[in-house]
Amino acid sequence: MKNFLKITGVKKVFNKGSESESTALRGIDLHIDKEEFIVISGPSGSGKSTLLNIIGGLDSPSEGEVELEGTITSRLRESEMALFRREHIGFVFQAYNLIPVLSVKENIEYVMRLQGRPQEECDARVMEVARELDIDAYLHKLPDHLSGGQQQRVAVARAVASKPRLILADEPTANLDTKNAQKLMELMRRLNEEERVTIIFSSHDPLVISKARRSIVLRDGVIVEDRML
Amino acid sequence: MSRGTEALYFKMALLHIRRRKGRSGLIAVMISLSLIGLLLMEGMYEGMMVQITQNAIKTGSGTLSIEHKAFRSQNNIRYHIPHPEKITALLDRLEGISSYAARIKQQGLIATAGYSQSVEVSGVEEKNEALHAGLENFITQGEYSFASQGAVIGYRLARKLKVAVGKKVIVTIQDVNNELVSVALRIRGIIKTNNTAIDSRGLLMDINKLRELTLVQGATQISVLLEEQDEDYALRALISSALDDETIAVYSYKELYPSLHEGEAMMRTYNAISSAFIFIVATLGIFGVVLVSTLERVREFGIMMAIGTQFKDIARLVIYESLLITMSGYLVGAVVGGGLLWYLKVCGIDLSGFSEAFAIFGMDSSIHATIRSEYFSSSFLSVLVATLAATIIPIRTLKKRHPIQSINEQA
Repeated sequence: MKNFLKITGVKKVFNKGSESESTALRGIDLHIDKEEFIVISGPSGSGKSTLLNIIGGLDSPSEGEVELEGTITSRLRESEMALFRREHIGFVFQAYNLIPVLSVKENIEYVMRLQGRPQEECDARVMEVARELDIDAYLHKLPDHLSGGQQQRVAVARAVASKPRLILADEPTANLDTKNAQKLMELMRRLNEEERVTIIFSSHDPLVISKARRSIVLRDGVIVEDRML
Repeated sequence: MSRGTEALYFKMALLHIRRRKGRSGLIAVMISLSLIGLLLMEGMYEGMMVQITQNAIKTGSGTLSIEHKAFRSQNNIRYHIPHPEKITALLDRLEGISSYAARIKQQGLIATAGYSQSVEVSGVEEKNEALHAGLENFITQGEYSFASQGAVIGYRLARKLKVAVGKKVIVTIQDVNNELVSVALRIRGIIKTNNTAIDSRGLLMDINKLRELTLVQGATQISVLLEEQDEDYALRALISSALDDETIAVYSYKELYPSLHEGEAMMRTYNAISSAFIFIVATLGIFGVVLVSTLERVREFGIMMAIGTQFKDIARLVIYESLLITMSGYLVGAVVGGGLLWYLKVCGIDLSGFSEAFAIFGMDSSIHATIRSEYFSSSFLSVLVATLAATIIPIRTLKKRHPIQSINEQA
């Protein structure tokens, strides 16, 4: 499908009107097709995370529009956006961001339970994803009892379990060693190819960037490079 | 929201409480102790008021007092009920009447060889009055008997006259023709009712003997006790209408003892103020805990919203958690406080050391608490409202943020 994600004239200004006003994005125009595997790179402060947050509806643009599969998400109210995220978007954060009181299994099935899927379906899907990510031995542990690499795999499992159409990952390998970072990227690539999920992730690690199929480079809030790898 | 999701949030609330069991326990204990204190205060204070009222009602007016209309204003036994049997026949037919007793009351003078003082002579039917007012239970010395020109007098009066059981006193009163008549009576018993009028100035004797002396053939008062005290006005209206006699007046104890009625109103106000005070303190306590607990989990809530949890569900989680803490505190407080109150209702608290002081206020030395479902329902409502009120600001604080702001809060 063409124009799976359309970003038009997106600007983001933080602390507008105050002394600490800063512009993170200065008018981004971007078209992304379904099943793409894209890396957004650039130096710190270039606007990578801000762009991912705006695409995912975690933050709102100061100007411009974001359209995802025909829905102008930048116009949705927060409650509508939450439902939209629940149904269509999976997130993988740099700091894993698992829910500490829930077990690994409960973290993975959390979104599916919000979607109202039957417990049997949740159980089956959790086992499927957990086996694939090699975390099936830890399902009843709490996130605090896992290593960083294991927690990040749980975060990926949570993001993919509900079969979203888009996965956004903000520097998913930043807290991982090289071996785990490579394993994670291989996993995300496999998800992209086998589960046909569109994946957009940010990184400034050349090794990770090389795993993507399309590279977008941001600098000072503007796209300075957009090429297929 | 599905039942599964509801159960998940409930479980999350429980797990959060367990993670912060020290803080959660502290607020639950605070609520328990506040509730125990409130229940004991309400129950004991109302118990005291009930005791004062019951003492006055039982030994004095009754819940309703039927009299000649002019008796109270003229204070003259000429204004008496000439045919009390007509009224007692009506009372026998009415529902809601627990008991009644006809009495003759006359002011007079009581004297011994060395002392004299004013006295209120009450002529009562010995057996009937024992059942009606339970006078036997108030005897502190001697016996409750009017046999052989016997009489029972209040303990303070006995003390003033320096008389003991077995001694004789001379009682002088006016008859219906305003002629002075005297009689010698032997003290059979000394009574302590905690009704100041009886204890300080009261003498009880056989009603028929008093009829002979005063020439009153009927009664000056018919004291009526009701099964339900709050039915007083309804039954007063019913009796007045059934009697259809302009010379007869029916009074509620609330009219005869306005200070008692005001005391009850004061007690309710005092209890309401105490409840409000505890409610405010509890709200502040709960608010502090909920606010800290919410603010330190802003990031977690941000994550939950990022992956699709709606804000209303986050609010539900915060409320569940707060309610679980406060309601567990309420439950413990209600069980322990209710248990203590039940014990104090059944066994009472013995304050014999202060009996003289309590007697002045019309109370016994043993105070029995009361228990009413309203204590529990109003405190439950208070804790519920305090909890919900305490969650408003923390929830509003969360609502103002974008999910990413919350996630970055403590990242």
